Amino acid sequence: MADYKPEIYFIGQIVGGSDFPTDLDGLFVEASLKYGENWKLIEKTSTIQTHTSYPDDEGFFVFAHPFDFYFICESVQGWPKLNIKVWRLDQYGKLDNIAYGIINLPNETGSFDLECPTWRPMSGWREESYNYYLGGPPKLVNSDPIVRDLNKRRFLTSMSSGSIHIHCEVLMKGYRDSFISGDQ
Amino acid sequence: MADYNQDGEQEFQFQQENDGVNNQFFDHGLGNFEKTREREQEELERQIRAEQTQKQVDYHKSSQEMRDKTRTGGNYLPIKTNLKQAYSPFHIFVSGHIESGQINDYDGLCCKYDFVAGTDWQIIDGNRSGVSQHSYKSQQTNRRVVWNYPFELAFSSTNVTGWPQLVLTMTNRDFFGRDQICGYGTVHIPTQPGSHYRYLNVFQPISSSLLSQVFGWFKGKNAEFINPIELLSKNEGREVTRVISTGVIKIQFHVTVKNMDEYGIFPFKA
Repeated sequence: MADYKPEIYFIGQIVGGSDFPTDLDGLFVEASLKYGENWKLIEKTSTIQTHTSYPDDEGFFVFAHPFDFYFICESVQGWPKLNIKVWRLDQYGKLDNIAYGIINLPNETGSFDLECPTWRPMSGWREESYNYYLGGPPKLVNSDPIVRDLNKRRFLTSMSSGSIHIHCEVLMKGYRDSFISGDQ
Repeated sequence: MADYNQDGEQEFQFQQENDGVNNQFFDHGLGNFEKTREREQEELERQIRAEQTQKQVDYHKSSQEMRDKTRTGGNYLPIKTNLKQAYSPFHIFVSGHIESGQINDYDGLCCKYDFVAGTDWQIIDGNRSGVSQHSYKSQQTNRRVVWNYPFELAFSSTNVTGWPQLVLTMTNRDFFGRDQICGYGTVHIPTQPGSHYRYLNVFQPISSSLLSQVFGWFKGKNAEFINPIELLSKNEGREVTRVISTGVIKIQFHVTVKNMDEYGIFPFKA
């Protein structure tokens, strides 16, 4: 009906992280957008990386990393998701990927406080003892089991980790005129 | 018999010829008649089709008119009318105050706010930045520091990207009366109209080396960003910094939105 495509704005902030199993080390988050073929991201890069943050007494890591994603969507399929990787910078300067997570961006207009619980892969006693004595949990080679090949999840064992807090506000343009839900 | 036969044959032939002529004549006439009937039918069908298409067009037109009447959005923007400007900007009125904060070991806190927005945004009215008083903790409310520092701004824009943000810079005053940085924080202005509270997590940069930290301690100056507003409002180039979280600040926002539904966006839930 409408001769233009619906547009959507995700405005918000990666607020912080909590309950991560580190007390002396710094963390940073690498968040990358995953979206379908019919979605078009305008102007901005799809991967953001926060600063390295050290916790306060309550174990809260502040990232305060603003984002402003602007999409033009031709189809609702492939609604954007944030693929989150948490990295740890330890006191010797070693970088480790310690947690993974994925979260859907909200499909409704409004303001949302999202919480993305994360996990890390776990394997046998060798890797766990390596992790215990030397630091550095087992890592995923690629992000396919997080995002794409969900059938491969059953080959994984995982250990739960902390959670990332995201504040996101959604503005939709032309969704009512295209008779798509979410902007009611 | 032969004559009769002949006559009959002749008559038959004549009749045949006659029949043939008649048939030809009648065929011709019948064909014309049928063709005219077909034409009439086609015209009728055409008329019916035209009526139907006209009805469809009318229906669409009326629905579109109805949509235009009920509300305008997206490409239904009225262009070149005397009443409204083409591509009229939308306006956002923000007021509120920086209520209070709680930063771990610091006292005598002062906060400076800056509103940062994209290139399409203009501040029509109000102060872009402001510095509050230095506030100390009281004996009764031993934890929090109250500023109660109001701000009031009006923005106008033709584009949503670059939504305005509030960047806070906290300083504290030590025993010798020197001011030093003790926290930064950012938050977006709420997109939903109405009154909102925002709890803003504040962080402080860490010195890049132990030596500079020691020097900074002697000098009475913590590590600080050179251009914090530029750095904090963007999400690029922050990978290299290391920070530690220091506290929480409570801010109250009151947001009013104008002309945004004409732009095609309905931030409020109807």
